[in-house]
Amino acid sequence: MKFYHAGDKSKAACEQCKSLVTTTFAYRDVPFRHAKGQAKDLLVAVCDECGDVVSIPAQSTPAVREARNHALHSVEVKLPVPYVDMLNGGAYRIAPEAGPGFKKSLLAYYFRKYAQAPDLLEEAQIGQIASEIPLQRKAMKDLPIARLSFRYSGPVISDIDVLTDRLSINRTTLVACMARKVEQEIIEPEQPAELTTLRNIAAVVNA
Amino acid sequence: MSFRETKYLVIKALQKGEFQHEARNEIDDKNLLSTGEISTEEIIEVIDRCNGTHHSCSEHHFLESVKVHVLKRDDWYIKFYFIDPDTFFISVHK
Repeated sequence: MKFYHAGDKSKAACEQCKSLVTTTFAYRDVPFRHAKGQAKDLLVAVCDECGDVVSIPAQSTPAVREARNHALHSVEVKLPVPYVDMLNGGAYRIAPEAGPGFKKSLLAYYFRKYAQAPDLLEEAQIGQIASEIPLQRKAMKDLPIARLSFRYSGPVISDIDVLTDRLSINRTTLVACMARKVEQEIIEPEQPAELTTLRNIAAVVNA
Repeated sequence: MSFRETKYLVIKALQKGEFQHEARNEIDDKNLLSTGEISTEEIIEVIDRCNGTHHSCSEHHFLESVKVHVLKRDDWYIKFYFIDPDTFFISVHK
């Protein structure tokens, strides 16, 4: 493979300059056109005239791939603290020893549960819950905001995409919905129906 | 440049790693070769199966002396041009 170093020269077609230009290879942070996020410190060819990034050498593909995987699999939402309390409360009821980190797995369970069963999604009135979230959040506007940040595998991201698509909501509202379901199904009942299943999952996840 | 020569040069560029991906201040993540979702070996196999009927070319929209080549085969769409000594891929997707 032809291996470029920062400072090396090449030629390329620059869309900004509308001409053939000389380029210099340099490290830049470059965003993705279709996915959120960027590839940081990527070796790219920069137009010597206008400074635009005009091409990416073959050697940068592994870095692009890694950055894209990271961007695609990250889930970051900001919600009023009560929603995070619901998730923490549910996680604690299921597995006190697992710690607040278990809420990542708890959310994944709920994403899978509803993504795989459209009938269940309707029966559980997730759509109705989703429609109530904006008003609830408005009522919570003076409360602190918490940031949730998880990295999930491809299948869980697919479940999230199925749900956001089916319900026409964004990821933040989806996580808020799932927090409400945790409150309804895990925290409120005296004997949550899925407690044993979820405790088994917690035991495996924390093994 | 004949189709045969085009095919030979683009395959050689892929084999030797002498290619770049066009970017306009962003990474086109639909270019599956640039994101590593398809390997150079896999794309070479697709190109190798191409004949003249799978090939078309047109003038670059601002570099008149540069020809932009398109190969369509097995649902693959591969668009590229040559600026010596490199080959530049614009699109590689299904």
